[in-house]
Amino acid sequence: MENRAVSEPDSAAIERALRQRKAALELEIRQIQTDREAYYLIIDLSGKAVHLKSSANLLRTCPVQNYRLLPRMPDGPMLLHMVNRVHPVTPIPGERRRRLRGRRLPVDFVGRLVEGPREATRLYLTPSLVIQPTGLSSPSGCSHLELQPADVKALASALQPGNAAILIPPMDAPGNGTSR
Amino acid sequence: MRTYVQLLLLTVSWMAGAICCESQGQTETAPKKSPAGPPAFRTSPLSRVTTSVSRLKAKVRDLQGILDSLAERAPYIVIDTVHNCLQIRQQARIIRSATCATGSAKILLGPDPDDTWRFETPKGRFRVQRRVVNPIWKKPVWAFVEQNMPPPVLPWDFSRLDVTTLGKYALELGDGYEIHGTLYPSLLGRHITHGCIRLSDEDLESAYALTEVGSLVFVY
Repeated sequence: MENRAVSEPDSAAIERALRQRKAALELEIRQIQTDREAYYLIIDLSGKAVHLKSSANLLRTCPVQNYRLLPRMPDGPMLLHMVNRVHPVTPIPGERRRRLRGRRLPVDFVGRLVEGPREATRLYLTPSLVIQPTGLSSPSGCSHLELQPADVKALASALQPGNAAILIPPMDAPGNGTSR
Repeated sequence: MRTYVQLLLLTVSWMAGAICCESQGQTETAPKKSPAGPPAFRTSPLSRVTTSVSRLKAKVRDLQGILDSLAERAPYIVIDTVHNCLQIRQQARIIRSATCATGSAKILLGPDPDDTWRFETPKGRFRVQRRVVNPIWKKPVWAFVEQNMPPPVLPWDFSRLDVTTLGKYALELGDGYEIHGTLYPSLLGRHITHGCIRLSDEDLESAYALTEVGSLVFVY
C-alpha cells in the first residue's frame, strides 16, 4: 500500500511531462508544415535554453540567463509570434560633434550606416513575451526572458516579424527562474 | 427388399448420430454464465495511469520520429553573419566551427543612375548548387567600378577573369553568392566582403569535403 501511494504522484508527474512534450512536438510539426523555410524558436524553460531552428534543423542554442512568467500564462506549451525588434536609438548622422562607436559622424563612405541588430536589442513576441539581453531593466506587465547579449543580437538578425516561437513552460510552478 | 431395409436403417442411424453431434456441439460452445456479482477483472488506478503513460510514451516516440524525419540527416552549414561564424552541423552536433567574413552592407553607386549595388550577404535557407575546384572569378561590373576602372564592353574579355581570388574551392549558392577562399585571412571575422562568405583555406577544404550538391546552408 505504501509503495502504491509513493509511485502514483511520480506517475502523474511523468504523465504531465509527457503530455507537455507531446503538445510541444505537435506544435513544432504544425509550424514546420505551415512554413518549411522559416526560422522559429523553441523556448524550453525546463531545459533553460532557447533553440533557433529551421525545419527541425538546429541552428543555434542560447542558454537562458533569467526569466519571469506572468501567472496568467497557460500551463502547457503555447505558440507565440514575433511582433517587432526594437534597437537602441542611433544618433542622426549630420551632427558633426557626435561620434558613434569612435567614428565621427557623418560617415565618409557613400552608402548608409549599417547598425542592424545590437546587443541591446529587444524582441517583442505576442502574446506578452519580451526577449532581451541581461543588464537591461525588466519590462513590467509582461513575461520576459534574458539571454546573453551576443545571443540576442544573433536572434534579432535571424528573426523577422511574424516568425513563430514555441514556449515550453517549466514543469515546476514558480514563474521565475535563473540559470546557474 | 432386404437391401432397401438395410439402407433405410443406415440412413436413420446416420441421421440420429448427426443430431446427437449437433446437440453436443451447442452444449460445448455455450458461454458459461458468469457468477453473479462484480466482473472477473478490475483495473486499479495505478494500472490505468501506467497504461496512459505507456500510450503517451508511444505517441511522443511517434511524434519525435516524424520530427526527425523532417530534419536533414546530411551535414549542413549554418552561417551567423552577425558574429561572422560558420558552423558545419550534422543532426544538431557541431562538426566544425570556423571564422568567416560576410557582406559589408555597403552601397556602391555607379556612374549611371541605375547602377547601385548593395554588398550584403542574403539571409535565409539555401542549397549548394555547385561545388567547384579551382574556381575562376568572372568579375562583374561593380568590381571595375569599385576600382574606378571602366568595365570591359565584352562579357568574355580576359580582364574579367581572376584565377586567384576565390581560392581552391567554391560552393555556389545561387545568384552569384558563394562560399569561397580569401587572399587576406587576417580580415576574416569582419564584414568586408561583397556578399559572399569567405573562409580560410583549411576551413574551406573541410566545408568542401563535408558537403555535396544539395546540402543545406542556413544564413542568419
